Amino acid sequence: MAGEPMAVDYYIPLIIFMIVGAIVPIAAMAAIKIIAPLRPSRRKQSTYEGGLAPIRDAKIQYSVQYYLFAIVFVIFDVEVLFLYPWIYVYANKAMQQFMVFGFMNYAVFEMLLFIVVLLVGLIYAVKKEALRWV
Amino acid sequence: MEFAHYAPLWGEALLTVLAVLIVLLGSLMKNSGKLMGYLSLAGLVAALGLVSSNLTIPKPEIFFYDTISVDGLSQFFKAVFLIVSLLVVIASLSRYTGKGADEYFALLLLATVGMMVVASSIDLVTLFVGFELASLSTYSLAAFDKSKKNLEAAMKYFIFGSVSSAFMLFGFSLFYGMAGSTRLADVASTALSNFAPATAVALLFVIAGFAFKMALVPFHMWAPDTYEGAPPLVSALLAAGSKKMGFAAAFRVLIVALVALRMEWYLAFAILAALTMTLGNLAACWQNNVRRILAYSSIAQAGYIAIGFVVVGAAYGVAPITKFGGAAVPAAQLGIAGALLLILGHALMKTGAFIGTAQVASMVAKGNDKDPDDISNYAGLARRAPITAFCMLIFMFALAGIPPTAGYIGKFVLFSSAIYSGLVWLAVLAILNSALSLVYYLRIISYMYLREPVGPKVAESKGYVAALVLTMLAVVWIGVFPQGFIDWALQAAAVLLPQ
Amino acid sequence: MIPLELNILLASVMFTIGLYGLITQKNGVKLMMCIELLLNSANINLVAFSAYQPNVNGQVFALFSIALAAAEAGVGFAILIALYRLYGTIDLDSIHAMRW
Repeated sequence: MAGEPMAVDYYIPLIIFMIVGAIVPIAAMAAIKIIAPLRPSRRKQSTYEGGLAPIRDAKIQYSVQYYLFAIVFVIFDVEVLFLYPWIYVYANKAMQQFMVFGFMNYAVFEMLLFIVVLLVGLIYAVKKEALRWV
Repeated sequence: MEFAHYAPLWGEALLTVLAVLIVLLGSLMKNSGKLMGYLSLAGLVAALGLVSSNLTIPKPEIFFYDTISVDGLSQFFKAVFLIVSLLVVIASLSRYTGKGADEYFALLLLATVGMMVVASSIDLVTLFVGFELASLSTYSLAAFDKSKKNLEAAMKYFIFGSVSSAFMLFGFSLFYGMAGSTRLADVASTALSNFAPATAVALLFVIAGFAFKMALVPFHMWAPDTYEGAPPLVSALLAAGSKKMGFAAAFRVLIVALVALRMEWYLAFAILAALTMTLGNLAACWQNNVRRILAYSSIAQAGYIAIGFVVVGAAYGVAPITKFGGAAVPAAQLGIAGALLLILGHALMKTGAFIGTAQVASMVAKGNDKDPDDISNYAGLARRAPITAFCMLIFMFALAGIPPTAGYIGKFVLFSSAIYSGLVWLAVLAILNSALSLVYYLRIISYMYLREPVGPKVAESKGYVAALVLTMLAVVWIGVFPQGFIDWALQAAAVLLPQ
Repeated sequence: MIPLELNILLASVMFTIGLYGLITQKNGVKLMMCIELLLNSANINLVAFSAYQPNVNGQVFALFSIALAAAEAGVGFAILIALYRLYGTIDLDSIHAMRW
């Protein structure tokens, strides 16, 4: 291939990988169908659950508590995102010169404020019993 | 680090700290509802003092790497937002005292901070963050009382609101792609020097996003349901504060855009404004729910305010006008000033009117299980609750634009600027609309003053009465002594136009 | 490097899918997913443009919008849960206490 590679060229290995990945399981299933003898029984047809006899329906309704936890988790989880750009700024030599109150690094002060606000949020969630399992 | 350097931003800082403090105290203390109300009242008064201590800034002060600007325009909007929040808090003092009061006041303060940030933003990132801060707080507030209506209103508001922010963000991303910077000034200069089809697409997205918030006509569907269903005091905040935030953002971004579009698109805005006011007024005539009437009238008022955008486009090349005291003023500046005055007036009138409905709803809630906002509940209000009825009367006249009230001053300046810039048809349409709006305002007034009362005289709640009387005095004050306010609005409008 | 056009095409397609879903779906959770699609298409745009600019403003903007999208999802789900407790459904077509 001469000249500048096209954008698509970077993806040729990926495309090959996907094709192979699609073929292998189909081939395996087909091989089983062709080679293995088929003798279905009632026990064999039932749901496989770690060797134990399956109990209850597979479809259960989750408690609404999970959603409350999920909401609190999602918010705190995403706030951590801001730590990554912060580290980049903190490592910057020019940033080290800014001082707050004469002794504290400006970047540290900013992050401290951020963490305190998050902490207040956590205290709120705990005290209002959003995190207690009932 | 000099903290004194940030003095013009202390108002926002104070309110943020107070909101966090209220959340903390509220979760640690029991029965702190009353304390929270008075804390936020004190905080808002102090913030208003801080903002008004540098109300007129000769030269914009820029902070945080060119993202926040404190100038005449931002101070004007901040004053409007703070006054609205203050009135809502005064009215809420007697309504929200028990469990959950801390959350209510914290959310209210955060919404105010968000609006103030939007008013000051000269960067797309801060604009978006401020917009979302105010929006998220108001979504939660709209659902606050957790009745069926509240939640339906909040859900509709949430869906429409977040879709509009998504549109806005998509437009902002295209702006960034074109200009290579998130600063509004850079975006404007790029759009001006190199107008591409992508600019038009980005503008379309941004206009759609803002129009949702401002409830201009093709994007107004959420407003009546939300204003009717949310708790009445929150409706006051939404109609008077949150909606004006849309205008603050639109002024910052769209004026720039109108300059970039070489003034050719103003006709599109003219049609949008004409449609908005006509449809809002017509729809209001058929309603029986007072809060729904107010919601549609608020849509109509948004149409009037949007005339300000049209004038900026149309006033290109029009000679300066020498009315309204002293020096000659460009027609575009007069148009923006008129829009600003109407924003100030409408914020006050709508806050007052919604607090009035809150008063009536709280009276009726004890009596029967009818729809508390139905117009039949207003029958004979003048004898059941004389102070509320009188204040409502003033607000209705002010909304219709009858002198001497704040509504009249705003409309007068705005419509005359439209006439000066050659938009006589739009001004005539707006005046006809004002006449049409009298139909439903007079209907409410006739219910209050001419019908037989449906119940005995009631004790009016002190918080509501205080807020109502303060608002009424402000509305009349602006109407009687308008010169100072006109000068203030003209000065704020000057910030937006190239010198 | 992937051409900018492909990135913008991807973002536009995502935005359109999200908008289509918003118009056709009635389930509250599905609507939230569509809103996330809209927001994320804008994020793709921002990051893609940022790769072609001398500054990283676009990536920073995307970080902010991701955090805000999470907060928005939090508020939205809270409203949905409250709605479900009161109405017993999140099918938004069957929720109409107010008339249009």
